[in-house]
Amino acid sequence: MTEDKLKNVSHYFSMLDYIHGGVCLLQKDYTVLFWNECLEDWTGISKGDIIGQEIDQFYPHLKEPKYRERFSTVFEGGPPAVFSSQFHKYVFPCFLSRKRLRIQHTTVEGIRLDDDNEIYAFIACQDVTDLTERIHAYRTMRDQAVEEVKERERAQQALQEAMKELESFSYSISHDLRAPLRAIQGFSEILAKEYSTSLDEVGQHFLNNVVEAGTQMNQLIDDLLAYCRISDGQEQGYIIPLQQLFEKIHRQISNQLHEQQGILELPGITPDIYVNESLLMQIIMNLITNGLLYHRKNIPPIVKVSCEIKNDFLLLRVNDNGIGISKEYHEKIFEVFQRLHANEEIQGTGIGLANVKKATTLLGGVLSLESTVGEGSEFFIQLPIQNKNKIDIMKNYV
Amino acid sequence: MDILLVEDQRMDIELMLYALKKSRSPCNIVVMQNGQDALNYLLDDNSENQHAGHSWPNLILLDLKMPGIDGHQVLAKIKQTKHLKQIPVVILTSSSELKDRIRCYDSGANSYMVKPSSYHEFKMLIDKIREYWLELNTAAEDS
Amino acid sequence: MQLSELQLDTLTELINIGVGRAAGVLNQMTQFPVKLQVPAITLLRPQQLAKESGLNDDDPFASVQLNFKGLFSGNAALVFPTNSAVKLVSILTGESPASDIDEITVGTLNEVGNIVLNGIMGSISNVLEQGLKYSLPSYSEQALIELYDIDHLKPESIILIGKTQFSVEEIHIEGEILLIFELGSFDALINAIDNILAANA
Repeated sequence: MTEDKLKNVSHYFSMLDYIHGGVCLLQKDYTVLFWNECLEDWTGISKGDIIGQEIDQFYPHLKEPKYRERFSTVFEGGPPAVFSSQFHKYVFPCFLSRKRLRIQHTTVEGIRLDDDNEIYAFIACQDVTDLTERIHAYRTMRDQAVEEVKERERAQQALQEAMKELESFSYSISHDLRAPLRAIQGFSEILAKEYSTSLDEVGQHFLNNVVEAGTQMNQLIDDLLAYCRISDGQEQGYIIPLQQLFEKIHRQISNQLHEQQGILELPGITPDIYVNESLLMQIIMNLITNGLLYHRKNIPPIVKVSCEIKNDFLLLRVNDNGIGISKEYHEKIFEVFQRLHANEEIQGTGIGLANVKKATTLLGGVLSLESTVGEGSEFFIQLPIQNKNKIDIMKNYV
Repeated sequence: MDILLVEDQRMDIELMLYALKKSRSPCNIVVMQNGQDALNYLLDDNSENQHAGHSWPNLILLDLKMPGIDGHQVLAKIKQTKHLKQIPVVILTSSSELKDRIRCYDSGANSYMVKPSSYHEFKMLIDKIREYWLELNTAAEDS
Repeated sequence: MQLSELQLDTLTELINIGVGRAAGVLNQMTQFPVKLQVPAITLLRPQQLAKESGLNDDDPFASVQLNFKGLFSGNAALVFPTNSAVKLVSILTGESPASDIDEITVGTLNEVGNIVLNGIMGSISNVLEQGLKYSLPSYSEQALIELYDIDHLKPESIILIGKTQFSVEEIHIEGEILLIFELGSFDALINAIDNILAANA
């Protein structure tokens, strides 16, 4: 190789100093004949240092078969070689910063110069660092999104299964609990009625206690079952006019009214809308029952139910003249099994209000309470009206 | 025989028998404690029927939740069998589940009653069942 | 265009020598050893390509192609159904499969195509003892029918198709190689093969 040749080559390829990629020309014996400015920039090796030298001196890894063999093919007149960024990060290692390598896509083509019969290797290096990083970032993001969707589906699936399990669980519990309870109540009642003469006063009293406990437990099971069923969405069902609901309530409550010697005022004129029967029944009946139950001593309970439509909401008010609820308990009373009064005074199960809250939430509504101890309470419920005239479960709750 | 009671819970059986004993007129009751026995009794009875002078029950009180063959299957079998389907079957169960009710009526149950929790109400219910199905109601066959 | 069984076998073996060499190159780059083979080849005229190639018309294919010129000319392509291509890149690089063919995957497929086609062309040009000029491989994705402008191929051209089986560790991926020999080129190849057979007879 002569000075002339090098001069010719550098002249011939001088335009390649302006391109934005690395270009190197190798002779068959791996001597560098051309090294463009971009490569100078990327590798920090100047033309002066590398031109005329063997490339192996600077990059010994190129002696490895995986490079040597493919370069040989090119020098022998064979097809060009492609070194992709995924298999080899680079042919010539170049650094972007102290630690970051440039990721490159390199091609090696055989070319002839002038009338030389020789083949030279024309090496072109393309910087694909940005591209690679962008693609990796995109892939990560996409994988994350896919994973999130899968996670959501898994959670949804788990939820469905849990709900199903709860349904069958709560149902069988209530059934299994009721059987021995029937026996306890049944036989105790029979004893109390027909064998009371064999017992002294204390004995009779104890027997009555058993009966009473049994009755309470039964109510508890009923309330608990109702609570579970609201949770598992079983209360999707009949939609009836609000007017009809109030009529039903009026019929069902008469026994209780008589027992408590109470008065119930239902709305005179009912708005013309349709409601989810079982959920609204839960809400209103529980509130009325509480209003009747928690009355002041010697003062007959008066419960008033009123409702109106305002801006696409049904506003329901149930107020009573009972014992009232102290402000500090306004949150707690809606929890399951939370009672503020010992059993002796008033017989509640502690679940009723939890049912009210749950049913209200399912309907997409809001529940609030105002109360003065010793005077009474007012429960205020706001329920959104769907499709102009219907109150039913809000879909995202099921 | 007046009543065939199909019920697995011993204590429920005792309460039932006690309530019936205390009612106005006496009743002949046969008790089967599981579905398979009840079906065997009703189906095998065919041949013995002619000889023993045994008659069909006038009323079948059927519980739903029983181990082995449950009440639903017993009901279905009775209402599909030519010589049994005319016998009134009153479902007497602790379940108030809608799906149980629908299934029973679909299978041809004549009546569906939920066992009350208090004995007092239970006794009232039994009296009324007896009165309605054994005294007021006219059976298909004279027994 | 009928080849004798002997000629066909020899041609098939030639190609397999080529892909064998390609497997050797790939093995230097991959984590696990790669086996590559072309069990059988079929020769068709362009008109028959659509019907008899057994390649489904509308499915999108990923293809790496190069042109060659010289004593004989034509076009060589390595073709995969797109999801096989993605899978192949994944098993060769040891990275988890991309969900689609992005730019990085294209680069990789270009190299794989380059290595495999180089192996085959190298083998063929050896037999012919002739140098050829080659283009750099290029990548495209399309239905097979669009890959070759069948109407512009001379009806006398010969298309050689072979199923290419990549095996890495129990996983097998199949692609197709297609070699299109333009007018007269194929004859030169057959003559060369006949010479070999005669020499070995």
